[in-house]
Amino acid sequence: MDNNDQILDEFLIEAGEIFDRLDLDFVQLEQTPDDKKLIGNIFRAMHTLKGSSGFFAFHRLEKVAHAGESLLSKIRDGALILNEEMTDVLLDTSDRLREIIAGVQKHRKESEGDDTQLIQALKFLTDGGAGLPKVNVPVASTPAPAEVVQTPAVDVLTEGVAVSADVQQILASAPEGFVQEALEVLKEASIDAAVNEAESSKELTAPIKVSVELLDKLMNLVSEMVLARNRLLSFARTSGDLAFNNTVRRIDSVTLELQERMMKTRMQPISQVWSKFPRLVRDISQDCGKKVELIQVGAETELDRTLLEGIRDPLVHIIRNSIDHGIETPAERIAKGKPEQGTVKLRAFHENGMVVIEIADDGEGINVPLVAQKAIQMGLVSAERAAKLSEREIIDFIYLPGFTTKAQITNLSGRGVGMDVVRTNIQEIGGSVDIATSTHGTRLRLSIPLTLAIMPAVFVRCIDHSYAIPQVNVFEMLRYEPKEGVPGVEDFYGVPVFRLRDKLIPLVFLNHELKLEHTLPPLDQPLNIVIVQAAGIRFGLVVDEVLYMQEVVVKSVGPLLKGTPVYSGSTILGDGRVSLIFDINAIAVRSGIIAKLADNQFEQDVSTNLGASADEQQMLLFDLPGLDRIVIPLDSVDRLEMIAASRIDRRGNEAVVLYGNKIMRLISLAHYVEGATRKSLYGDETLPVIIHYHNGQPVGLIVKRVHNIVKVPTQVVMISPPQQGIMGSVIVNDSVVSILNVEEILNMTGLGHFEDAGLADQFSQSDAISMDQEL
Amino acid sequence: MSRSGAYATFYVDHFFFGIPIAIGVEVTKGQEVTPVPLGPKEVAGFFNLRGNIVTAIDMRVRLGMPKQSYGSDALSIFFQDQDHLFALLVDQVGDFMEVTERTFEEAPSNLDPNARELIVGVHKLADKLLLVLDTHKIVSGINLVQN
Repeated sequence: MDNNDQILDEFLIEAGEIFDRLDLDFVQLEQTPDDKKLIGNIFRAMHTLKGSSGFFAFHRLEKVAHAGESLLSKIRDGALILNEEMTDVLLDTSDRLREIIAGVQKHRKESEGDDTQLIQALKFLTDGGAGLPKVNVPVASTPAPAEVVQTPAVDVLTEGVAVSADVQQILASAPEGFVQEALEVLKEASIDAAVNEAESSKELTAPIKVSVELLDKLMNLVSEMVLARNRLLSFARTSGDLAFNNTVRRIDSVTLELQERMMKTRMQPISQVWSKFPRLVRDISQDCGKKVELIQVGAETELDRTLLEGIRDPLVHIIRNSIDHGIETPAERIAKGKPEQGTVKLRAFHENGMVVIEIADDGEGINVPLVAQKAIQMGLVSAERAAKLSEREIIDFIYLPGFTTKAQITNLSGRGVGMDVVRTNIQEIGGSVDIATSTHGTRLRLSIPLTLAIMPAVFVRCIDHSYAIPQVNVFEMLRYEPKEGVPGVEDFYGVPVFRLRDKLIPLVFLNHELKLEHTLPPLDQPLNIVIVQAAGIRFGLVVDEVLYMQEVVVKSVGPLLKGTPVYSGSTILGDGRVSLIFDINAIAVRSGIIAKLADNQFEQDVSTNLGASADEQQMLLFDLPGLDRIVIPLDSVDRLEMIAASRIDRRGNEAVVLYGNKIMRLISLAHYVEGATRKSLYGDETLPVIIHYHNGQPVGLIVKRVHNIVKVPTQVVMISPPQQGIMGSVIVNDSVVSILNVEEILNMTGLGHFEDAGLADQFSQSDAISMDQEL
Repeated sequence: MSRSGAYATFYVDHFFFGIPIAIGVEVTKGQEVTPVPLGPKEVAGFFNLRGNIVTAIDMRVRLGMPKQSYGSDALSIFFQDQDHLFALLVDQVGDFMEVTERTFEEAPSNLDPNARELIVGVHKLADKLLLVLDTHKIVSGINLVQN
């Protein structure tokens, strides 16, 4: 029995794969109806299903597959040309088969059902009929329709039709059993030959199936091994035994590679989700009476498999919107001078350690004035305010729950459950959504992290435990020190707020929010503030200390924290302890930030969306010993870290530090910038380090103090004679700041030389000194 | 819940409890538990057991007894419920013990309803009573929304 169950399971998995393939092939076939190879594929798929269902005695499945196979064989032989009607019926057939299989999966046996009509329709088309009535197949066109599904003899008759009309005549006159057998043998033999032929031409490197649990288990073991390795490394540092140290180094490199390879097993190509879309686009565009072509670029782009599930629904929704709202009817398109057929283009690619998925259509775009008008109607914004909002701010309204511009509710869209769900889903997996629109179409851009399992996080301390904040939520970290005459933390009728570059940022005191402390601390003391953003709202989390940044392996917190949404997961630290990861959205909701400031949402968010304007660039302001106010282009900054001097090792005459899994070269900027005071690196202090990725390798620039991000005019005042390490200077808020010349610094330290000529060209051309961060 | 077989035993206060070994039990000591602010009061926190996140349940709180600081000397008994690992923080861990159905008795009808939910019955040992706990109920009976 168990054995049978196992075989059945295998059959079900195989059937699922076949159906996915079938959907794709059918839609493809409609576009290239004379592709013999494709018809052959579909035919073989149906045949495989029929054969297996015969083995399990699934009669419904067998009969439907059989009828489908008959029609396909005629098409394959060229006796019939595939038309839209046939595709519809064949797709119905595929749906029916899928339905039956789903039933089998649930109940472990075939469920009851009537397929007579479908089989008749198939048979009608097989007979060369056309203009199939939608509801009922005329009884006269098929011989003895009532018996078709019931007796095997008549069933073979149907098959006879597929082979040839002559055979059917012979069948009627010859001894029934004999002909039936002969015919069956003949047909099966020819099909098997075709199947064998196709299979032998396949490549032999067949992948094997491994259960997901096994992979997860292995992944866990690898994480555990990484922790053990970390402990081993700390022993090696204090040991003088050369052989031991060499062994540790070997283990270190093997562990690293193991971890990387293991991560790869979680990655799946995005085509796994996309493969359902051609069928979806076909169905939706038919329902809307529109002609739409789907183009997929980058289907091989890989993404963590848990994330693939998370993007499926948002993508379906966006595609639906594009076809239903975006793309015009053929008549409208022709009138506008666009090609009759609209296109929806899916594009996926990697960028800065994220996977970017773009969904672009060439439709009419979002009607911005209409959105504004709707927003006013729904009371979301006053008419005066709306007039002042930028286009982007108006488009932001479509993310609000219940927002729709459709006057009529169709069964596809217009019910207002749309973009808000898309954005929520994407944000849940740590991604973001961006919309660009014009009269030539709309482009949505989803940025999604490569993997959920590992993410960068900022660790903060509250009382005596450390907590992690996902780095995607973090905007900046700052320390507030009260000064006479400078407004800092103020009381906004019960809400503590902080003035950050002339904007009020509400503050949440984490210790108080977590009920670790029952009173708010006095506002006239230094505060460590982490500026975060949740649901478009920025606020400041006040913590006891900002500790460090680290890539963490995210683990579940288990079932008992379901009622405590402020944590999104947990992680195991290097010393084996567990640290909880905050869900910033949930903290914002809990503290009332979101409800309190909802009306203000669009004002809060503007600068983050827009970034710096064209003639300004965002730069990070920092100090060096003896030389204050230097900026580095934000493009060149990957992260900020605090590194304890005790962690710094020496490699030859270079200072290095173990950073994640990489050895990071540290550069004391003061040694290379003219005017700064050289200072010995080593003390027992903690050094602020700006991490910059150079050819995929992290380089740490040691500075004295990091201030904040400033907007710097791109017009640089050049200095003559030029000073070492400085590109030029600019005026920011009435004071002069110097711009660091990252390229020159890297050259001086011997890091600027490139083996790869292509990269070097790219590098010297870009004057803004931004480099791709290969993570 | 079986009435005979091997039990892992432990003390909370002066009560002697047992959970069936069949569900996979392990005993450790000296785990540093990370507390969960805002979490259910029964959840003492989380710790790491060979790369797995374990939810630690404070048995004193779970049984409605006065809380006592366990510190890093906390003794824990592990078991798995559904797909997650749990640990019970207890006062003292006893031996593994084999019992037969002969000594088993249902819980008396005047048992406190809260305790009745957790205690399946009792084995009459020569010198004391072994209270048999339902591990699944220990976990599933915790009120998740407490704030």
